[in-house]
Amino acid sequence: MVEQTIQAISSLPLDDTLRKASLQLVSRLPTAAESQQVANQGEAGLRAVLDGMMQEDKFYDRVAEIFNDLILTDRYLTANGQPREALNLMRIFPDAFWFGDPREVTRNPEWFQNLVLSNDSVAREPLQLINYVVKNELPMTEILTADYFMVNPYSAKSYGVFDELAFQDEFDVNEWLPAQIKDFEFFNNNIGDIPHAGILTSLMFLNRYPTSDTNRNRARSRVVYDLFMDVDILALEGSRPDGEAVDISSPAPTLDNDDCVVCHALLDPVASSFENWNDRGFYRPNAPWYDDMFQAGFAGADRPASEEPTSLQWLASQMAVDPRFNDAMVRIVYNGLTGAEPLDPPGDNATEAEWDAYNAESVHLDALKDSFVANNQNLKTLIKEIVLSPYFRADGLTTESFAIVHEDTGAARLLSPEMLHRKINALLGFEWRGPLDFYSVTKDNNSQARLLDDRQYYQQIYGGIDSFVVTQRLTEPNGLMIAVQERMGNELACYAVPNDFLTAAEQRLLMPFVETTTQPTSSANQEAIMQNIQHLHSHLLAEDLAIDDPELQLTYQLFVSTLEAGQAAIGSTEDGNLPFLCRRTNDLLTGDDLSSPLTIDPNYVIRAWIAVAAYLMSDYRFVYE
Amino acid sequence: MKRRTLLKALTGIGMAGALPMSLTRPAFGATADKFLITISATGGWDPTALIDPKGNTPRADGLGPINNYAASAIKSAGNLAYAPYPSMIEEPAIESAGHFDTFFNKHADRLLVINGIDTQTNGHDSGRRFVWSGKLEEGYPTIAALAAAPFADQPMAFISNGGYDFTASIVAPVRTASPGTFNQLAFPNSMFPTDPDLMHLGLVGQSSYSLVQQAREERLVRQRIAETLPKRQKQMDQLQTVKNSDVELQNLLDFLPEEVSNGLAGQAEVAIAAFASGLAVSANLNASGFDTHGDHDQDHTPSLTALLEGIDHLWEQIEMRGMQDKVTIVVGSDFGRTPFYNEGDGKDHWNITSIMAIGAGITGNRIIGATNENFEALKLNASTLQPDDSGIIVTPQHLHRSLRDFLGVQDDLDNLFPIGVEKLNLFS
Repeated sequence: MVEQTIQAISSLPLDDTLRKASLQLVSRLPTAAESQQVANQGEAGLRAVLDGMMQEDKFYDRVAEIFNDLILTDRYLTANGQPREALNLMRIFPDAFWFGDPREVTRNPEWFQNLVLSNDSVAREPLQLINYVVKNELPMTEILTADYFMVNPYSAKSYGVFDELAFQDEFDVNEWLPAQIKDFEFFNNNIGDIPHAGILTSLMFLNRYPTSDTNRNRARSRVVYDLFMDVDILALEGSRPDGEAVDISSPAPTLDNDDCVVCHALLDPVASSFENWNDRGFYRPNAPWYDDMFQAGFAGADRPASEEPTSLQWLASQMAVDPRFNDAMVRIVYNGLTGAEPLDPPGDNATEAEWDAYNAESVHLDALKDSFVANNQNLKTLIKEIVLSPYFRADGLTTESFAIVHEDTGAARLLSPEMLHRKINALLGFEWRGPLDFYSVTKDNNSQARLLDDRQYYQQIYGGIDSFVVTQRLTEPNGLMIAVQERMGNELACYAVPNDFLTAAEQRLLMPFVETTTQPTSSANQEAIMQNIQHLHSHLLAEDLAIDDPELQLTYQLFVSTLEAGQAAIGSTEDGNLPFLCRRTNDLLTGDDLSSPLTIDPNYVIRAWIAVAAYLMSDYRFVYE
Repeated sequence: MKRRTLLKALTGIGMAGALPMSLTRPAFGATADKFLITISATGGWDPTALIDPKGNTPRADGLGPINNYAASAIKSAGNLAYAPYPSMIEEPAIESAGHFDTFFNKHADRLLVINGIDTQTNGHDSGRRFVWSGKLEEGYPTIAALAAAPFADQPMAFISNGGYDFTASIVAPVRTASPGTFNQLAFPNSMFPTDPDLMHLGLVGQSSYSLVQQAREERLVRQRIAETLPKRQKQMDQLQTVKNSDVELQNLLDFLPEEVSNGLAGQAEVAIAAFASGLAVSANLNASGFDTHGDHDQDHTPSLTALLEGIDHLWEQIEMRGMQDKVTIVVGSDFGRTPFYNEGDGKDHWNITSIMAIGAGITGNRIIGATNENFEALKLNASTLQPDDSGIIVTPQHLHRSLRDFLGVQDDLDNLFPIGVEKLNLFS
């Protein structure tokens, strides 16, 4: 049945799979050489191309984005709050504000620049560790077991470790190196060497999930189980009693009340393992710990007394050999790439279809996990396997009889604002920037807002997160999001079509087969227009249609009817000029004045193409992937 | 592993269209005549710096003073006590609506303060979740979503400016951003949507835009018919449903000020305009700058002033629309801040907090609940609401039990997300 269930999925062809993966992983379209390699070598070619892509910087941006959606440490980035959220957490590090104490210095532009760069470098530390592990193809367990943390020149200065490291460039924020904090002193109190344990001892992680005298690191434990063991403590049998219903007849219900022990026997040993790390994420060895809760340990094993000062390193070593860690990695990457959580085990009243769906997916994910494990827990292996899986490539069903079984199958998703932003750049060669409509008349593009991934504009409306106040992405559209799509399609068409006509035909992204004068007045011209429409469907929507496909005919009709309506309106509601904001007098990327501006459209041809492009760029296939 | 979907049956299409009819029945009539605004002072505010003042008496345990102002300087307005500005902090102009004196003297008669609420956590996410849903664990919708659920078919029924806005799929949250974007979105084809004289000039030619719109609609219908992957079918259905529902943003613009403000004031203007135009029923507003682990007095005090300015502005908007008897406002935060300063003059997280309520149905000039000299919650008599050593510690569960009763949340919804604690008459 499992085999039948999976065979019912009709998969995207390899070339479309390549495009889909390329846009998601490296925010660009595949090159001609990459496409050719896949055409020549099939799946092996696709794997090889993906290997190449996974060396690009953009890939690591995407990896960080995927993990941050769960870890949420980007909450401390300047873009998501105040410019010193991360540095404010470093008060025991005397050089945190190495560029000048905010209470004492004159805050000039250089000071602000150092503030932002240092803060964001500190904030990015846990995600950079993940990237470092992935980039070096280390076992993913190293994100827990690493006896180091990551710094760049700016954060190294804040942590006081800059002089111990050999940076190539003191001002390169992208140069990250592993570091350790040794022989640490705090107010003349010698703390000693910090026992780093990857993300578990990250200052950002520990502050993002703080503790208290009553919580006793249980929140941290819950997050650790959720992120790295794929165990949702809150979903276990038993529940926290309401209010006064707490059983106070025993001195320590979490130890001796069966209802409580269900969860706390799991939760508390991990919580106790954080005993040396205080509420603000600082290492405090030998601090007193509670004796009325389960003591440090993991999976039934007690932490050896000799490991007390390095408790989290011991915990990390235990988690690293726990097979549930691999489940957690599969879940995170599957979710990141497909936009969907793997299915839950069906409940007692589940239907046969739910069991079929679950069994098929489980068998498949287990196979992916096996590959991941067999290849030294290399995350790149897992990514390749998921991209090649029918669940990522699902494009339809071969038979309707499996519709219920596969009701949630596939990687189709509403693109996040950040993904949509990157897709626009990949397809059009420029970003959708602001301020709002005045993109085209400003020459200072670098300082202008990026509309889809800036919180001031549409990032929040379109369902983005800031990792703090808003932590859940919207995955279903609402009325305002539809309005964003509509405006996006209209604005982009207005900018992109005239801009494309400025270059030679062979270099154009959108209009390679027509000119601004090409009207459907001859069979040759009609053929050129149809070819261009065919190209637009392919380029913008990944829709490869035969030239006589009805969809292309309908788009052609839109072009013609728009052209006719526009031409008829010239002299009344229209004139021979392009709309003001669609005129190209300067370069979209540099702002430089153009020697041959494009401002007129005497026959309405350009505007008819703008209408066609606007139609396509708000399409389901454009805003979903 | 789809573990955060409490109501699997409801998440099928992700909106209240999947709810049983009884749950979509309006609570207050065919159209909303009661509205709810929640304001989150995100990051964890310090009640001792505002509505539960303590002063600078040294603590017995040597941890230092709670506040940097004298206990003798604590002020009052009516029955409410409020903090003065800390020493060394420059006060805003007294004319500022957010100046503590100005705010409390103006609004004390309508303000209800509840002190000594134990959030039982000091994690941001869990604290926010507990304070705004009444449930420490995941899975319960924010109270603003419960208020909007009966009107879920309105396209902007629940406006979220961030904060805890989980809805458990009983209503779709609509997130907003900078006010300038509304004009852009209300007139998505206009090149100059804020200029009445030029508004008609389109990005896509006006003579052809209707053809584009029609082509878009027809293509989506064709795509849906041809699609064989159920997940995409579902997405196309959603897209069609939302596209077919009229988001009359133009109506909203009629009620918005010509220049929409920034920050909390702007959020307030948008929320009230959406209420007045019949587009929304509830909104959560969000103010930030309260997570002051360093330089607490320096950074926290202006955030409190800005918060009060925003609340005052919200009230002005409500009065301008004559909605004083329709809109209830609840102001709260993730938790409180430590009753002592850390090494960096900051304050870390503390589980005790307060809330304020104002507006429709709220009897003001009252304080319920209390804390001791170390800012620890005191027990409360469930009947008299007075401090009582044999009483109970008030938690967000009690708040929400009471708030739901006060707002008239329907039994069906209430039972779907039960809160099983004793009922206190906190809001009235």
